[in-house]
Amino acid sequence: MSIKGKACIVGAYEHPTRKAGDKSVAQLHAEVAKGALEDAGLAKQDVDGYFCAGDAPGLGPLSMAHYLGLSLRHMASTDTGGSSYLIHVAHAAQAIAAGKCNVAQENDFCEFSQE
Amino acid sequence: MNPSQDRKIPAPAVNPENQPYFDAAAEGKLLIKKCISCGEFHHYPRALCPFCFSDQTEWRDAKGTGSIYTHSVLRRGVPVPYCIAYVTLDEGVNVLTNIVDCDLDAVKIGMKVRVVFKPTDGGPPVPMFTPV
Repeated sequence: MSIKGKACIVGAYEHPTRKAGDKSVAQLHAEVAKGALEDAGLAKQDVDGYFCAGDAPGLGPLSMAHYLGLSLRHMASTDTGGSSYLIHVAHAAQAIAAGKCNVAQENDFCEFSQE
Repeated sequence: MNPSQDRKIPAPAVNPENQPYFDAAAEGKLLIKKCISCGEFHHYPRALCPFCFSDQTEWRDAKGTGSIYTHSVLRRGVPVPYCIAYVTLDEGVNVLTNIVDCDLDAVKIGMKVRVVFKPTDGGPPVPMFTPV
């Protein structure tokens, strides 16, 4: 059973920094989330699904939802290293197709050196 | 009577985002963040407001007083009994903290408290609260 067309990517954002020694990891997640939402023309309150991997601090999506002030119906944290975020896109599409959430925020993140 | 005892507190995770909070704690000051865009206070401190997502957040001196919202005294499986609590500051934000320097059996919801600063093991001091 195909879910083609049941979900689409509406916003994307790449953080302009390369060496962000003056920011925390959680803060970088928040800034890319904000940039993607602005690109999509959506507000933080629209987000009801959240995906992140092991690079997110604390307990992952639980800690990030609290940090970002999100009210979620769905969250997931599949971690397959650098490919986690591709899997998150698939899982987000499945969750949206199943009606588990309407707007999924997926924090795609590469480890930044903080020296 | 169950008097609280000082316990070893692990050093907090200090990062560029929360550094000013711990620098202030080292000087015996309690800071919270206020969002210039929407006017809300929040704790723990974030760079982006958790209510409106604005990056216009600024540090403010907190009065250092509040009341206990809820608490729990841990006695089993810990070297030294201690009281974990949420304190609602006068500014309206909730702080996850410990209630210290008191009789642990006498801690009650609604009790008025004020901030004190306790040393950590290898890190900056952290704010905790004691009954006034």
